[in-house]
Amino acid sequence: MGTKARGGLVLLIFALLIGTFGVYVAAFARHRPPSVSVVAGEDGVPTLVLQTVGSLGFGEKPDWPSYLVQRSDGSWEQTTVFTLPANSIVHVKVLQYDTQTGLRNNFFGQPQGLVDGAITIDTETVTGSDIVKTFSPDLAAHTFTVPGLEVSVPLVGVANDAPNQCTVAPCDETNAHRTIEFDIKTGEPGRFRWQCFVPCAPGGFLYGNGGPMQTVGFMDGFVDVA
Amino acid sequence: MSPDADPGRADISHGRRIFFIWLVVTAIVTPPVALFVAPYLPPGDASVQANNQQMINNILLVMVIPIILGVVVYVFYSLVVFRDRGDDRPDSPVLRGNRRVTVWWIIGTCLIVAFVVPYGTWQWMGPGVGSGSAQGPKPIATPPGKALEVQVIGQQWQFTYRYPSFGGIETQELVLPEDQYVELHVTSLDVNHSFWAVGLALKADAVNGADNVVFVKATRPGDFKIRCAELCGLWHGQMYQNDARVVPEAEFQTWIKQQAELNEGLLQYLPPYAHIYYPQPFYRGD
Repeated sequence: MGTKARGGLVLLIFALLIGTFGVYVAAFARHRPPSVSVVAGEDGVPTLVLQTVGSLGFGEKPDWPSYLVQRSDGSWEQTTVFTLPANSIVHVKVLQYDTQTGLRNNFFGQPQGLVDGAITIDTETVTGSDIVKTFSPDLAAHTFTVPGLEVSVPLVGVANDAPNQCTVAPCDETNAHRTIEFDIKTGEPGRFRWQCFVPCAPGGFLYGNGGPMQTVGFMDGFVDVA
Repeated sequence: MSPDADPGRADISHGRRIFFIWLVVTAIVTPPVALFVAPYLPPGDASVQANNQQMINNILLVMVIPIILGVVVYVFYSLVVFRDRGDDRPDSPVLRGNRRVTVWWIIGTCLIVAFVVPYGTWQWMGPGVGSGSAQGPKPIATPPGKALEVQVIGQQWQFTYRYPSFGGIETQELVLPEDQYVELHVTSLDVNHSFWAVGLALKADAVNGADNVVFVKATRPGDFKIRCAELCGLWHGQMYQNDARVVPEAEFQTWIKQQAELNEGLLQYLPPYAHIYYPQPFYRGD
């Protein structure tokens, strides 16, 4: 092979590598979980229905914990990007299927920013500082925390030895679960980041959050108020 | 006179001419900048520390204007007067040092440094009380009297705040009383963060296992943006969504009472107030 041909081959390989890298970066940058709008619940109140699972059970990361959101047709979508109406009270219902992990900072065991300060866990409604008296922060499996809206809600976990635990999402209500319901008030339109503050995946302590804890579509995402 | 010199310009003192042009331009430009630009430089005047930082920025700006103008005047003078006129003259003879320029350069630089060092030190140790910069666990510059202690806790990806004078309660929002010295103890629960309240002229690294003290005295009520200034993970860029709020003393007391009520049940689960907190375990594996 002549010098020119060798040079051309090197250039071609180099161009292919750069092109592949460019396509990968572009695909990564363009990939976003879909945004799901709230559904109209009872009495027409906008209602966001979520479920949290300890392991997704499918896809590229089947062992990662994740959030899922219910579409208006009742199906479940694995995403963490929600659209809520602006200046409205939104009812949030979380079906929590994961087990108890406990918080890195127990401060997030105290619900914050809820309408009337009330939260219903299964059938018990508690308010204000009574919440942590009833449900210890050590029982949290996840949190739903939106710093920009000053909303934070601990999601009580299923007992570690509970029977019939869900292993593949979406889970249904015959699996062991806790039901957490609360109302939040949205303000002006904007995009607000939310995340889970329970170190529910590897990492999560001194070395920080890794894996699902920092990945949109699993344990953090965006609340779009529109 | 060298045979290459321009006969028409032989006795012109370019240095003197540049000096007078520089003097006139400096006299015209400096006062309006000092009067109309400097007062609006960041970080503003919302705290004693911000005021001091702004004053330092003002002084440095006024000091640097003549230097910049000196360079600009020299460059433009050279472009105009020494431009190529097409007569294809050879290069000038090589200059091998100028004792007078060297001496004045050294004297000028020494005078600037001799002013800036003591002035900066005085600002840092004196009325600025650290000038809004962190001083580690044992601060050297401390305010007169007792300051209100507030802890800033960095964690991926939100700052929270503890008030040891009020039972060690923890809050999502940083609320500070107006006209009162506050002693902020900055730490982290996980990776390195940096607490930056630019409007209050505060910046302190938040490091796990380290207590970093910074003082502030807010001088007027208002909301001030807080952001993390240390790359702390994928969501670092979003770690800015909670503001600091400065309120009058009475409003602060009302707010802290509400927070204490909200924390009533939580306090038993919070660790005893300390300047640092270590996680247990350090790492949670697969």
